[in-house]
Amino acid sequence: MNFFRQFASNLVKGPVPGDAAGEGGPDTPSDAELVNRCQEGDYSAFDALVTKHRGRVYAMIQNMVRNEADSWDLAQEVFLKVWKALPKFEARARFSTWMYRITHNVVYDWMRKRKLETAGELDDNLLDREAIAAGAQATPARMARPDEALSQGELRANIERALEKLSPEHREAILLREVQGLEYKEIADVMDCSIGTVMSRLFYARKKLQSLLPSHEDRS
Amino acid sequence: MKTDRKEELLTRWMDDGLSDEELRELEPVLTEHPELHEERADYARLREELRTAVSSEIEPPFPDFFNSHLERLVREEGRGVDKTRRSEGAFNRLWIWWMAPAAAAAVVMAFLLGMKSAQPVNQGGMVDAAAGSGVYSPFAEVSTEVILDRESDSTLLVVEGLAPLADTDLVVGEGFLDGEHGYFVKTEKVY
Repeated sequence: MNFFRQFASNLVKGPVPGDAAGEGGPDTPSDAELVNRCQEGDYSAFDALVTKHRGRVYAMIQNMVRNEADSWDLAQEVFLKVWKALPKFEARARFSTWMYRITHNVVYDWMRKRKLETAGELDDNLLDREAIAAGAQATPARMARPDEALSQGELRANIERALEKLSPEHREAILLREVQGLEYKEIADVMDCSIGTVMSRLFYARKKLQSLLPSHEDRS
Repeated sequence: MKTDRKEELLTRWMDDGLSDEELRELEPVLTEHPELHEERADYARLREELRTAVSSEIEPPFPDFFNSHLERLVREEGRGVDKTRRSEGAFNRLWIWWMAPAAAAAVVMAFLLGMKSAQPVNQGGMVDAAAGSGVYSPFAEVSTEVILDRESDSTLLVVEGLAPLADTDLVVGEGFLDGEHGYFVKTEKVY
């Protein structure tokens, strides 16, 4: 197939079906089955795992690093690490939680590296993200007039801007909880912290998000 | 009540996750701060908006290539090849062509000829020189490369030397050049 035709077809394909828990449907093998086959050296099973989870991994990375090219490369790195570490995976946690953990490590390594590389340079993006303490009083959001109802696109842009103003830890906690639907314990496993820390991060991240975004009444 | 405990209970209260006993424990705080009920309702709406606006799944661009490129990395890893150097920036270069949002004062016509018929056989690897494919660029400073990826059955056109382009700056189609059929990519953007 020609690349351009394939590119066009990919635009309409959409994400691969599969639930967060990794349970297979009637015709889809579960994560556990695929992992077992991977551990026996079956690369096609790994390919199926990648196809099933790449959308979630890529979305998580993309929502954290806000750069499509880097997200693509980092998602590759995640799955390469998954492949290398699969022989040691003991299924004490769900595969998806373990995969998010690897994603977390890859993203934070990238952020650290990027911080070192840009040390001494003026990097507005990093300044924006890290200069604002998560618990700090945020600038009040603009109060929209009733006739300024936000369109879907504006809403998305506002939410993305607000998420970018959260610290990486708070943003990740919110994304894992509200977008990816993980339990507190799973978030703690992914972020390698206590459940109490997860609660605290969610508490302050939510407060800050509320302060950054106009309330429903303000918009309607 | 200790701050940590209060934060935990309030967080779980926001998620409707409190037991009756925990709810009783939190009751004095809610009585003291009745505005928390409104905050909770507001956050429930915000959560819905968040879920609407932020996708939990986004297919990476070129998903088939994503898998085949990964397989290549895995194979190289198995063979102990230094994959870091070989894969370095490969996709970033592609992104210069496809995705980066900026303007370019450039017109490039790339004409890929005989893509299907001239693909050389490639057993293990995924990248071949594009024998039989021609790419035309009107600018000497713009270098082009065609990569045929048999595993994902796709063709990549890498153009270096252009300022970044947006998707909307591209026109892709089929046509004839010197009487030969092929596919073309045309970019046309003025500052």
